[in-house]
Amino acid sequence: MKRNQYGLNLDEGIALTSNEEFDLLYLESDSEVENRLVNWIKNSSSSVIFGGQIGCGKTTTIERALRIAEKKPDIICHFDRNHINPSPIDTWLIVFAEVARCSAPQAFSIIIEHLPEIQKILGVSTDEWKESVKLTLLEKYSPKALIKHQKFKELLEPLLEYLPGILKTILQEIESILGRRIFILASGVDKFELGTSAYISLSEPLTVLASFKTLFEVNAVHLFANDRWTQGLKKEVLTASSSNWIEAMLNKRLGVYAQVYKNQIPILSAYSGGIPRQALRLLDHFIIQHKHYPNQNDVIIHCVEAVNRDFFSFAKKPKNELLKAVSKQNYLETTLVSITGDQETAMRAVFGNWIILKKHKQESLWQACVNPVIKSSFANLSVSDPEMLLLKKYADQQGMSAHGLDIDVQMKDWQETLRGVVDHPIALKITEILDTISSALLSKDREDRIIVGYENHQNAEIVRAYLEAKSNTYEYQVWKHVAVQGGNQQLPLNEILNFLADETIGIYSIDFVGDFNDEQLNELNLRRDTFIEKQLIWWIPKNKLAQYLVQLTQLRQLFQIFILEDDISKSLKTEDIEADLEFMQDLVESENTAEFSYVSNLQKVLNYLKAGNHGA
Amino acid sequence: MEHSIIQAYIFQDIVRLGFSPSSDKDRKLWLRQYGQSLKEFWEIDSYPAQPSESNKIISATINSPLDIGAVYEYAIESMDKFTVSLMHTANSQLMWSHDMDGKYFTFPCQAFLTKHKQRNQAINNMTHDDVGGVIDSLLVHPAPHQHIESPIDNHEVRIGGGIINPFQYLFHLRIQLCPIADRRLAERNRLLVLFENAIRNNQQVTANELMQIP
Repeated sequence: MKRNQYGLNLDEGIALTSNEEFDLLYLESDSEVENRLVNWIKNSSSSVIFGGQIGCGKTTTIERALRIAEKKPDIICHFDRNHINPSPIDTWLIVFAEVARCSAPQAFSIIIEHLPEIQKILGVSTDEWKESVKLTLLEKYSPKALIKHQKFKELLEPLLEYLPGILKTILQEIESILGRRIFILASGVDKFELGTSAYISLSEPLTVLASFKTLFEVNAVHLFANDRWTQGLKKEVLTASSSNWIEAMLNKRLGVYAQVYKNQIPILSAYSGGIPRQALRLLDHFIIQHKHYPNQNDVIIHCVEAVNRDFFSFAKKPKNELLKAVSKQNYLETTLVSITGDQETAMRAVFGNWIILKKHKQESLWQACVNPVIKSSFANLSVSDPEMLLLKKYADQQGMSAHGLDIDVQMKDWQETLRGVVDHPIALKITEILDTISSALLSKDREDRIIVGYENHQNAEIVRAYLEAKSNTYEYQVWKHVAVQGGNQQLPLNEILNFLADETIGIYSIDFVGDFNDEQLNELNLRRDTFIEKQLIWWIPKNKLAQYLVQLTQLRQLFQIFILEDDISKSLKTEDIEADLEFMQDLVESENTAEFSYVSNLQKVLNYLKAGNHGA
Repeated sequence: MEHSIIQAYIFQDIVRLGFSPSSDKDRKLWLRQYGQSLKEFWEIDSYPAQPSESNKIISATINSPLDIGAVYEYAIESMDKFTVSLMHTANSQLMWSHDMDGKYFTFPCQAFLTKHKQRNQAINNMTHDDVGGVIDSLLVHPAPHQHIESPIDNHEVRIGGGIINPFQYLFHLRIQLCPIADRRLAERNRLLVLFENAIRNNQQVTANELMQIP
C-alpha cells in the first residue's frame, strides 16, 4: 500500500509490515508486552502464547519485536492461510510443508530420511523444492498447485497417527544441526473459534510445536480456555491500549491534518475502546462522513454507526445480561470463557470484541468494558460514561451545548438507530456507498474489501456497472466479475482462490450464488488474511446476508458491509449521468482504457435509468 | 533591459505555455489531470469527483484539504468566463466567490507586449530570479491576494485577486490550499525549472508535466 509522507494514511486497520510503514506510522507501544516479547525472542528456549483480541495489534507487535530482536523465525506456519478445508491432515500439511521449506537449504536429508516419498512431490534440487512448497501450500493457486497439495496430503494421510512423532524427531534433528533451538512462529491460530472442528484439528500439531521454541499468535479467548496444548506455557496478553496512545496513533495517521481534527480525536479514541483497528476504522469513516454532514455531531454518530455495521450487524450476539453486567461492574471473570457449552456468552463476547479486556486485575479477574460502539445500542448511557463526557466536552468546545448537541435527547434516538444497525442494517443509497469506498475504489494505492447485500439482482448489476465506471474516473482499473456457487458438492473457496490468482485484475467482483453452507463460510472466514492485498467486492443476496455474516467474525474485520437500496433511481439522476458522460466522451481514444470503461459502463446505467424498469 | 519588462514577458509566457489549453479536449484533459493530481499533492485520502459538463459549462466540486468540511466549486464556460467559489460546509457559509466575465474590459497585456517586440531580448536576458519572481506572483504568493479570516483562520493561504485565467486560478489553489510547507516550497522550485526551460524553448507545458508531484 502506498503511504503518504506528510498527509493522511488511512486503511482498514491492517498490520504494519514494510520498513516504510514502520518508519512513518509505528508508535512506540505503551505496553510492556513488546519488551517481554523481544526478551523472549532473544533469550528464551521454551514456547510462549501471545494473545489479544481482534484488532488489538498482535501482528504488528510481533513484527516489531522481531525487528528489534533482529531475529527471524526459522519456520512460520500460517494456520489461517494455507489450507482449503481445515481438517487435521490440512493442518499437518501446513506444518510439514513449512518444515520442508526450512529444510531446503541446509537440512535437506533429514526430512527425506523420515518421509522418503516427499522427493517425488517436491523434487530434488533446492530451487525445485522451494517452488514446490509454494505450490503445495497454495501460495500460487493453480491446477498444478492443487495437484501438489493433494499429493502431499496423500503422503501424510496414511501416517496420520505417527506424524507427531515424525515431526518431533525432524525438528530435534534440525536443532542438532543448527546447534540451537529452532524458532517457530505459529501464526493465525487467533482466527480459530474455540470448540469448532477446525480449531480441534489444530490441537495435535500445536501440542508438538509447544515442546519447541514456538511463538503462538492466538486470540485472548485461547489464553483463558486452558486447552491441552496451552497448558504449562508462558502466556503474554496484549490488552487494549490507553486513550492517549490511541490519540497519538490517530494523530500520526492524520499527519499534517491532525490539527484540523484535534477536537474530534479524543472522541474517536473513546469510541475505539482502546482497539487500534477499531480506532482506524472510526477515523476512516469519520474522514468520509465529515465531507457530507455539516453538523459535527452527525459526523460522529454516522461514523460510529458505520463501524457498528461493519463489525457487528448480524453478528453472533452474546447475551445482553452479560453485557449489562460488564457495563455495570467493569470487570469480567475470564473463567467464564472456558465453560463448556457457554459459548453464547463470555467466549463469544470476548472473541467477537463485544467486551474489551482492559487490564488484568487478579487471578482470572479482568478489568473490562463493553465495546463503546455497541454499548449505546442496548444500555442506557450515563452522563458519566467516558464517551458521554467527551461528547459533552466537545460540545462545550464547539459552543454547541446549548442547541447543537443535546446529548440526552439525541442519545435516545441514537440508541434506537444503533440497535437497528446491529440487528437490521439500513439500506444505503448507491451514492453513499460510493462516497464511503471511493478512497479505495478510485485508486490503486489502496486495497479495500466490501460486501454488498442486494435484493434485486438486476439492480445490483447496474450498481456494479456504476461502480466500475466510477472506479475508472482517474485510473484504469480492470474489473472482472464471476459468480461463485455455494452449496453441497461445490468448492467455492477453490473457485475464489483460482479467480484471485489472476493478477491482471484490479477489482475482483464476486457474486455469491446458491446456498453457502456453514463449512464453506468458515473456510472463507479463516482465510481472511489471504484477501488483504486484493480489492474485492462481494455481492450477497440480502436474504442470505444475516446467515452468512454470522459465520464471518474474522473476515468482516477487513470488509465493509453495505445493504443496497432497492431502487437506485432514487439516488441516481439521468441528468447527472448525462453530464458525467458529456465530459468524458470526448476523451475516449481506445478500448482497455479508463475513459472507455467509464463511458461504456455509465452508458449502461443511463440506458437502464431511461428504460424506467428499475426496482421491479 | 529592465527586469520588470523581462518579467512582463515571462508572466505572459507562463500563462500562455502552461495555462492555456487550446481545444475543448485539451481543456478537459487538463481539468481531469488537475483533479487527479490533488490526491497525491495534498496527500489526502481520495480523489475528487470527476468534472461534468452541462450546457458547455464544465464544473466540479473539490474538497479543500485545509478543512475537509470545506469545498470549492468551479464552473468554466470559456477561457474568459468562469467562477470559483469556496464554501465552508460545516455552517453552509459561502466564503468567497471569484467571478471572471470577459465581456468587460481587461487590460490587453499581450497586445502591448507583442507590439513592443522585445520577447527574444527579454528571454535572452532573463535570470532564474526573474522567473522565480513571476512564479511567486502568479501562483505561490500572488501579489494582490485575500486571506481567509473566518471560519478558517490561516494566514498562509493567499487567494489571488485579479486572476483572469481559469486554469491559473485552479492551479494556484492547488498550491495555496496545500498544508504541507515542504511540498509548497518544492513545488515552487519544480515550477521554476519547468517554466524556465519551457520559456527558453518556447514550448507548451503539457498538463501531465504541470501536474507532476515534486
